[in-house]
Amino acid sequence: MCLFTQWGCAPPHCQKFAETVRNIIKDEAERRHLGASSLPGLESVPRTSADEGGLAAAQSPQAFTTEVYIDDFQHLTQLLQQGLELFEIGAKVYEILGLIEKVFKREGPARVMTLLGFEFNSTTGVLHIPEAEATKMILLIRQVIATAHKGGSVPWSILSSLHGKLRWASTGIELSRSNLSAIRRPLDDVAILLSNRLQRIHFFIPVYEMIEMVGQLQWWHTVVSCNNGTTQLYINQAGMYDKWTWSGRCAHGCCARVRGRCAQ
Amino acid sequence: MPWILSPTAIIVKASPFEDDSLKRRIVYDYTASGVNPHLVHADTSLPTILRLLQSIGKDYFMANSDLKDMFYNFPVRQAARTGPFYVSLTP
Repeated sequence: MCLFTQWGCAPPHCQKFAETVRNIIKDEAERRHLGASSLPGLESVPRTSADEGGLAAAQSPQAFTTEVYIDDFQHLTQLLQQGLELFEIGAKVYEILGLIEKVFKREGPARVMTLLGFEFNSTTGVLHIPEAEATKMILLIRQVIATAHKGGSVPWSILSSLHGKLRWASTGIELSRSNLSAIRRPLDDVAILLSNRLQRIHFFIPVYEMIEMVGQLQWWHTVVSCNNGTTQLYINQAGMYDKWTWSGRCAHGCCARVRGRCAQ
Repeated sequence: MPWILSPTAIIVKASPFEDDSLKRRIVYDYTASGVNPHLVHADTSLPTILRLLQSIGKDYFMANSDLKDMFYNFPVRQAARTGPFYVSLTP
């Protein structure tokens, strides 16, 4: 069975299509790295020589890659010129396939960039939640904790919004997912009863009774307020960033780095 | 083809990329209209940020390009085009 909505298609199909587009871009990049002929239609995209630092200069296939998130193509390259060349290859592939690129939304190539909502610095290996988003999360967490301490309740919609933000944050802070369960539980328990927006706004959850949830929120408060939920990534033996994270004390004294997974 | 009425809302957000600085996103509540239980749920997973960063080395450059109206870029077979707002369960 296949689901289409309006005149377009649903995310799984879009993602599969986008992965095919990504594979074409990677194939062409690989050909340029190896000095092979271009794919049909892509010959007109200028090749940047090894001296200029283009794809031909790549030391290994790991020096360049493209990842895709439905309509968002992320080019990751060792050298600046390689990023620019991938942009041009991508633009031509979109044109051939009849896809329209939002050229004005192009970002980079840069060493500090926002990826999937997180800010990453490839020189320092620091990944963190952008300041504005961290501030919003901290205010919301404080609001719920303060309500619990006063013996009050919060609307389902507020807690749901906070849970959504924390679930996103957990994708960039390893080991943090286990601190979402008690926050999600009361939402799931009553979700089936709340069929419209008004009901979700007016249904209150007695957070003062939920000690485990408050404990998890306090954990998140510490994590997000400490350097905006910073995760320090380290280089593994293959020369690529790998997953390391912290859970208690950092260099500023509020969280401790714990080794997550590393090739060393 | 029966009519399906779903509550519809529009979310308006500030955006520097739009001509009038406002981005509009239409939202259909297919739960309220009872459509959702009849749909096949196709699982999909996207790499997390930590997975993405495993493709990056020290001092790598990052670049990002976006496609316009991605969900509307795919042709839907003629037989399935039954109206401006429709859901098809056609295999």
